[in-house]
Amino acid sequence: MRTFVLAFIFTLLGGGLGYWRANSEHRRVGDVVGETIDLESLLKAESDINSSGEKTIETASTSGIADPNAIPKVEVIGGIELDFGMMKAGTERSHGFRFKNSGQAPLELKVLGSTCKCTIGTLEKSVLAPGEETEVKLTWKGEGYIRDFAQTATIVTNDPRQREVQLTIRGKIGRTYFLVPEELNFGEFSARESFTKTFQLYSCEETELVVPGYWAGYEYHQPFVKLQNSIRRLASNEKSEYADARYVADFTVEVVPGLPAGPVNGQVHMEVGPDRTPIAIRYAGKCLSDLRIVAGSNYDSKRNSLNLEKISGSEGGSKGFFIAARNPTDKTVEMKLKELIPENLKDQIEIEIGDGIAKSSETLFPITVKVPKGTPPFNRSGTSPKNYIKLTFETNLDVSNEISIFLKLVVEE
Amino acid sequence: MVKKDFFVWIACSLALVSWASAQERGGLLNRLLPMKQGNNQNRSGQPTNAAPANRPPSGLPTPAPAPPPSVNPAVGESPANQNNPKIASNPLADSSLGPRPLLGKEPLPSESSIVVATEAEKNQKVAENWSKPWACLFLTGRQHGYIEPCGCTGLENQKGGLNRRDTLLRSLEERGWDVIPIDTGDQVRRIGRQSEIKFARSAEALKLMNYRAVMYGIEELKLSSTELYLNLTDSSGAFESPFVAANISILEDDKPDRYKIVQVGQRKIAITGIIGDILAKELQNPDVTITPAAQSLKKVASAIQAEKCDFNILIAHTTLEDSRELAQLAPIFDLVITSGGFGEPLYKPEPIPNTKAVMLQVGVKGMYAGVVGLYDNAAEPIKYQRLALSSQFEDSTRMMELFARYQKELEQSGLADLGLRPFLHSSTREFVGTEKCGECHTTAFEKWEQTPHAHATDSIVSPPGRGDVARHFDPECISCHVTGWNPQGFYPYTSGYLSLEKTPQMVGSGCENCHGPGAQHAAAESGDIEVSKEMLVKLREEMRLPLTAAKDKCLECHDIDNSPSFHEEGGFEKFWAQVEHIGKD
Repeated sequence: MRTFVLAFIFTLLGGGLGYWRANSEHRRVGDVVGETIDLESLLKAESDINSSGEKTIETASTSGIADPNAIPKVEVIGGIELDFGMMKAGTERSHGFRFKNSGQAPLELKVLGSTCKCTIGTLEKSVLAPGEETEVKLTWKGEGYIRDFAQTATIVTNDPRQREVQLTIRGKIGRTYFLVPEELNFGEFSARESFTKTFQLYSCEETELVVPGYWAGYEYHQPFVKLQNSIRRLASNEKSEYADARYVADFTVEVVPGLPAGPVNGQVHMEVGPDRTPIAIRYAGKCLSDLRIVAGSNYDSKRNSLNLEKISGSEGGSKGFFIAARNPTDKTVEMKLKELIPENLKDQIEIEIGDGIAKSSETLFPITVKVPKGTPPFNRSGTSPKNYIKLTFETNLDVSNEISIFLKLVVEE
Repeated sequence: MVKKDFFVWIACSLALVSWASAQERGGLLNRLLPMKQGNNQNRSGQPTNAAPANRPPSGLPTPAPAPPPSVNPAVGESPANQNNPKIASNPLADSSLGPRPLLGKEPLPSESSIVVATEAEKNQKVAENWSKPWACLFLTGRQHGYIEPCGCTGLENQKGGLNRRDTLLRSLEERGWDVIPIDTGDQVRRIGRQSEIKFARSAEALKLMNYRAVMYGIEELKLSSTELYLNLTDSSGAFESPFVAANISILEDDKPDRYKIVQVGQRKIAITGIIGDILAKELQNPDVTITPAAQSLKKVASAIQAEKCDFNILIAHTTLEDSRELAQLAPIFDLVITSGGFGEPLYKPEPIPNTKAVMLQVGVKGMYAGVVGLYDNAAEPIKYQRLALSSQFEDSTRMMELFARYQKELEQSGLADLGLRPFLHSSTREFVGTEKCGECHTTAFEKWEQTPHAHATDSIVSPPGRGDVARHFDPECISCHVTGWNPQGFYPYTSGYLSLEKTPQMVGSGCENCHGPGAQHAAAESGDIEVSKEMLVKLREEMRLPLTAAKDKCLECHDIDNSPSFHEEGGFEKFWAQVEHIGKD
């Protein structure tokens, strides 16, 4: 009998605990049961989310609503995003995001701890009756050193349909003169070809724009980076994005053959306006030689050596790299292996040249070094290139028709 | 006795079962005990004719049910969709927040989001109380070149970095979960050789972390197509690239993969990525082809549908608005991961109107990771947690090794191979070094020696907290830690710092970083060159920096990423007090 009583008590206890837990969990996730959710609980829940992180996608936040209409409904009049457009450096702009409760129950709002660098005003009212409105103001000061900005601030609500409202402000910091684009990407180009790029220098001055001086920043670039510009007054309907601009100088940058192969990184310098304000635009790209090795981080371009690391001789395997070839004529580039040193490895490894992959500026040839199954071990690594495998390839190109590479390779048992 | 124990055990078990069942919504007790709303709804408020509580694993997650008849349909929800069982209407979908003007492209502005970790972000509990999901998605993106928190403002205060990301990821894997890391792209944010190297190392890191799907960001698509191609393939064909995109081709039509299928046990997850037209139109890379997003996505969505996967994911590398529209256009997706937005990711997934999908953001600068658990629980098919990559996550050794290799690569390249040659300063003057300034400006020099500016280079040769990886070959660090560099352009000026050995007089952030290059001024004052009286005065005037202009100069280095405290109210005044000095003795 005592046993039954005990069992009954425990069952009741467990059931009771389960029911209580169910209810408390039910409330914690914030489902509205015909009543206004406590915003503090929500904020605590948000804080819990931040620290403990359990976040459930509530596929039915309207669940449990006795009267589905009796819920708050947040509305931001005019939208949740605002573009301040061009702001003068040092000036400040504000926007009041207007919140309205278009639901049937009191709407609670609170600014969630924000990392927005903008200044966030306090909410005029934190609880809105149905139909009521309030405002939160976001203010941004345009510091002189930045070009553009975008910031968000989060407002949490007890609207079960919209627990978070992310407000966004963005804009650009205008100066008297500005460049579009802000840098020039030359991309990859051959030392043998010409191409042009353009950029615009805008002026917000009413007086006519003058650019008395402009040149490529490096003396050794100057013969190969030619500049031209034409200046015009902007029509009133032109470039609404740059509403404050009055004049524009359209610059053309022509790159002619002759730049040395390798990364190209320079600037076009301009002296602008009557007081010769210095302004510069960066350009960057890569000038390609006719034949080059393309490999990953294991390739040491200074030593022209590629570390292929280890391959198991018993299992066999393969590693690879690419050779990029540029043909200034329309002739199809052909590539073949000319030489493999040391010669005794010819019977132990295979060099396969794949079909070329055409790029706009060159053709990429996949080169595969294959170690067949059962290859006896050898070690072609170390610090001296004399110990490495040297491959030489030849092409049908008129100029630069040969390229070599040193390979470090260890074939293990 | 045995009987007694047996009955007590049964009773306790029943109690425990009741307790345990209450832990999850839709549990046994919940079904047994009707809630206040009555019998026609379960605890989640779903009508009982909605999907069964324990539905089979396929087809997750449960499409959100249509709102009860008494609830006004969400704005923007078409009647056609309400009648279409395949396109679940979503009661959370709400466009009442007013018009959302399309702001145009969303590149990362120079000022967006503060990097400082809050106390709560340093004490997060990761996926606490989560049971084992059938799959765990690990979402990241928009690294924007921030491969590590640099420590400028204290490592413990900064968020982000591959080394912390790896630690978090592995902690999830160590739970025995099937973790599927996914990235939305934008590993870098600038063009040039250093960005190419950084992209290659980032791609290597993603591979090491076993990322299963990585989208290309618009920023890396500006890089050399050869570099991009190298990360897609190797000539031996042994390399399986995680990159995926429905509408991008790099050199070859079939590169990268249009979509990926990830097998998790008996289930399949499909993942594809799309770059929005709004971003694509600005790209000028002749070897990268981007086809219109809508058309490409529809095509890939059909192919994915044919695969009959259990869960479909879209990575949308575009604006928030565009991400929503693309998801609506191909409503087969359960989850959309967007690279849109500017600030922190939202705490909650955003339902996308007229689809069954929810959308998650990844934030900016790689400061956050999202953890998503997929469950067989119809009432709770997905759990989501936003996690700040704060100092609570230790540095991963393998990522630190990779980072050390990145720094070594920069060292081996040298400034010239990175395409960095000194430019003439816009004043056309040259730098002379701080010690020379100190010969006349002794009081100011003594003050300077007591400031962190004097040790700026030391702090990258032996970085506090990470002393074993020097950064004095990294132009992005050098530019503010030596004398004679452009701090925001990351390049040296003529006669500025080149290396510890070649230009020891340019060590530290010296006088000339604020006052301008002073070689001519010093030479004229000491009589090393002959100048007119007017020129002497002019050279002196050039060196003067009025306090009103000083703040902007400071901000060139003390920017929002590296010196957030400088941007607090009164920040400049507070820091100025530490370096305040007079000109000439």
